[in-house]
Amino acid sequence: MESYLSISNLPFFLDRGITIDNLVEQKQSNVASKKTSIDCKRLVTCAFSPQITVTSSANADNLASDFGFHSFFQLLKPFGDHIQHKFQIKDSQLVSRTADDFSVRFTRPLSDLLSIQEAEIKERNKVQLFNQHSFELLLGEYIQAINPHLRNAQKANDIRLQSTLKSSMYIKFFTKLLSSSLLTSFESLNHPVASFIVISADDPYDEARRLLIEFKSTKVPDFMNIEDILPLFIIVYDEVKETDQQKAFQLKDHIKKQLFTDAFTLGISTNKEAKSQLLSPPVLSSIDEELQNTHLTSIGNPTLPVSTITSIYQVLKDVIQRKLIPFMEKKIATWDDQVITPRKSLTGRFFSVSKKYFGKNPQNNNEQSSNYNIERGSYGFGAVESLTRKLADWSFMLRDYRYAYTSYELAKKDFLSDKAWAHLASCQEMAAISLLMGATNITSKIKNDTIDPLVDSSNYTFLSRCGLKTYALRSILIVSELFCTLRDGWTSAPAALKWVQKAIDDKSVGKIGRSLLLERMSYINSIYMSSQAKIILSKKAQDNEKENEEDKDKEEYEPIFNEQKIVKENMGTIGFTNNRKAALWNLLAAKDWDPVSQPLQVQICLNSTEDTYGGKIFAERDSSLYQRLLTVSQKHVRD
Amino acid sequence: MKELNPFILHSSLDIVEDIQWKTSQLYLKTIDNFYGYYISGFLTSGNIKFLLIHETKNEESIRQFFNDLNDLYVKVLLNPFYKVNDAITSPVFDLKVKGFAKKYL
Amino acid sequence: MSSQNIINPSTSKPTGLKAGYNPSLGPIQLPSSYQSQIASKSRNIYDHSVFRRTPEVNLSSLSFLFSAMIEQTQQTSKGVQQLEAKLNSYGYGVGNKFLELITLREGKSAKRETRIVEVLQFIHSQVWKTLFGRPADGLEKSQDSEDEYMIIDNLPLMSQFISVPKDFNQLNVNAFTAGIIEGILDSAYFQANVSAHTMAADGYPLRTVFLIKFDHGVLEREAIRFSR
Repeated sequence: MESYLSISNLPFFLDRGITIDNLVEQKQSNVASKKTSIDCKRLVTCAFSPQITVTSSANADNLASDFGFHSFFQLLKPFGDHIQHKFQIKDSQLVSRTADDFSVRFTRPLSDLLSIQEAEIKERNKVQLFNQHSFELLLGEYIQAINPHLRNAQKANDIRLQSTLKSSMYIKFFTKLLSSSLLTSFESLNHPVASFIVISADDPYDEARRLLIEFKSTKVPDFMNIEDILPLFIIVYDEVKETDQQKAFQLKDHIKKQLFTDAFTLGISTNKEAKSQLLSPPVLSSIDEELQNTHLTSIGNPTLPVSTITSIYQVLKDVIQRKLIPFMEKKIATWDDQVITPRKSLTGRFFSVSKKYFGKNPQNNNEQSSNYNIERGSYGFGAVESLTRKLADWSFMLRDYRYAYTSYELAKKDFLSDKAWAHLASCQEMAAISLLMGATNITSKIKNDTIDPLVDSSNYTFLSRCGLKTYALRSILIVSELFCTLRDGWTSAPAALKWVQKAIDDKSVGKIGRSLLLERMSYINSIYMSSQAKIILSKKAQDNEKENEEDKDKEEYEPIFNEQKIVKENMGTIGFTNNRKAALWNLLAAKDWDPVSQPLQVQICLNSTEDTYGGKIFAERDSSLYQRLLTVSQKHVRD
Repeated sequence: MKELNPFILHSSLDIVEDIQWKTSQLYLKTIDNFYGYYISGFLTSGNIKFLLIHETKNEESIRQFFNDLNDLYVKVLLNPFYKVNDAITSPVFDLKVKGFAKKYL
Repeated sequence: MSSQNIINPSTSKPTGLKAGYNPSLGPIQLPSSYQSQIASKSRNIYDHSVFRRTPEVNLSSLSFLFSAMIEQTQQTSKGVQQLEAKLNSYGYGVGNKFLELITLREGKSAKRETRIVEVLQFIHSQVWKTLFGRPADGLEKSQDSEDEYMIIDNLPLMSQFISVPKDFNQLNVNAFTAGIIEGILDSAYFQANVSAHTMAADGYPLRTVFLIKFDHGVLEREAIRFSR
């Protein structure tokens, strides 16, 4: 499992004594490492991936409960996080590209999702990406979980483990920010792309038929189209029982012939003697799901036989490569023909312009009137705008960022003229994100002329016109991290700083979130150095490491040393680093953590400022903030 | 909030170190901004940095303040027992600085 | 340096006559009785003016002082290198302070030097003129290495009246002046090592070459910031 995903499960691994060497940063002499930002970028790819609803029959659920899961959905969920395989994806120009991995997000059946959402909206009367309260709760629990390990690392003076644990906090925060299955009209990223109907080989054909009809007749809101969701059957059979596999194949053929739906068989071994492997908790589960999992479930150490794990991955690879990706590609091509090409072609433009100016007749006017339903705040699923947005979202999921960007730009214009604020803001946000994800060379001109206005406007719209604080928060934090991944720290870090500062100033986060963001400011300042300075400092760090390793065979001769000599070793990099600023923000973060309630976090923050403030009289005298935080946290740290 | 002042000033040293190579002036005017506090700087040719944190901008008087301070500092230097970068412990110095502050700021 | 003497910020209890700064309160304002007490102490260094009319000193007195200095240093050091190093360190302190003084005396037209060539020209003309009454005789860049420059003085003032015995052949007492240059360069953030070498030529038997070897960090900085 990739490190940027496993790192969210760090306490899980540490508690069970599983080695995590691949997660811990290798070289200590990594100057201004951008690893966490790069991890965040990969997380964006994983989190903005196709959503697949999982419906299972009673028999299938029984099979899952043999292993301790209460539904097949729960068994399947961890597998979606990361599927390692070279997938071929054709982009809009029909050029085939290879993706090294793929992710899907498994969710509960569509009807469940919708009903839960409806209940929440009735209760709160507003759409929120996540519940701030639950978020803070989750973060608090996570910190509780890693604190003992952090303390051990501190005592053992293991700096690498400490920094890994520390950065895992922000990555967890970021991951949760991205993992929401909220279905809204203005963002079709969470609209399911496919639906797994899981039945067991023991189920009769009628059961399959019933489930399919149930699925097809699910009552979906206006802005969703059930036809856009690909139904797939997964027929699970028990490998131990010999006849099961035959039954599964027969069922599969039957379904294909009668229901015209594809089916895949999955063999599960109920052999208790087989070698089994621990399943780590799913990473991309939403905040509420995760809280439920930790509080309500009784599964302590979920295990599955290794053969089953392999088969599940194999089936997923098959499904994705042979069914899911082609389905998405075809739909994108269809929509492209339907909505994009007409707009771009000359005749199409001519027609729409003429309709605008010459259609004074009220009858004609209705055709061209807005598709936007102002009362409900949504477009119908067949509207040009919805299709354009969906097209853009699906291209994003297939990693065709350039095409996604142009489509978002097209959709943006419609939303602006219709004054559909939430749609507009979401579109602008995604346009900026796809630009940052895909473009290989982002000059400051692009940044100033395109990205900044997009994010600015999107943020303003989210906050003032829609009151969607959570969406605004998510968008600016993603943009900030993507800026950090850009090659030149010197030009991109100020932009990243600006957005994180905005998030802090707008008070869009709870208490723990704020402390994490203050730490993030410090991190951004530490990578805020020119590329030449980075090269010079990395070389110095390497030389230092080599020196420490080699034997000290130097002669002990003492040249006369001028005590007054002003020794400054940083002449090459002077002015090109921002370490003092990083220390200031770490200090602010430490103050925010509060030495009484989170003394360990305070200490770790202050440790990173030691290089800057160590030995400085103004920092170390008794009444200074730095010293006070140190002493109070020392008193409260529990062993 | 006042307790953050020394740290805010210290952090603007990063900026001083950068802009000192872009101008040959001694008075650096306002170099940084932190939540509404302005930070002005003055850099002697021996790279001794004077930093002032203030809320209202008043360039001319701050310039005069720094000039007087420079004068005072050089007099400290002329003490043969004083090495560069030592701490300044004279109460007269302290008094004079406060006098300048009252006069200009 | 005992921390008692540093004007520390006081603790939360105001301790009367401790001057200074309290981080949570700001500069400490002391009662006016204390202020007048301090101010009325005898004339101190701060009341003197920095701008004297003719900042000149008698050459013979200077030479006498210098030779006494060398004599004493010679007694405590073992070998030419140590002697030169000590002289260098004496000049170093002078250099640090002298830079500030010169700049202050320039008044309104005071500038800081930011480039290697500028600072060397400053030393070559301004510093030499102020110290010795005339600019130095030459400023050269070494052909062999990137980081070496040379300032040449045909008749160095300091060593004019010093005679070097045969067994101290290597010695150049201008190590003191080299120390001054080094002090100036170091405080201006041009870290360097400066040494003085005797190179007689053309009727100038006391001709001295000051070899300035810059730290590679300085060259890096110069390349990064000033090469377009």
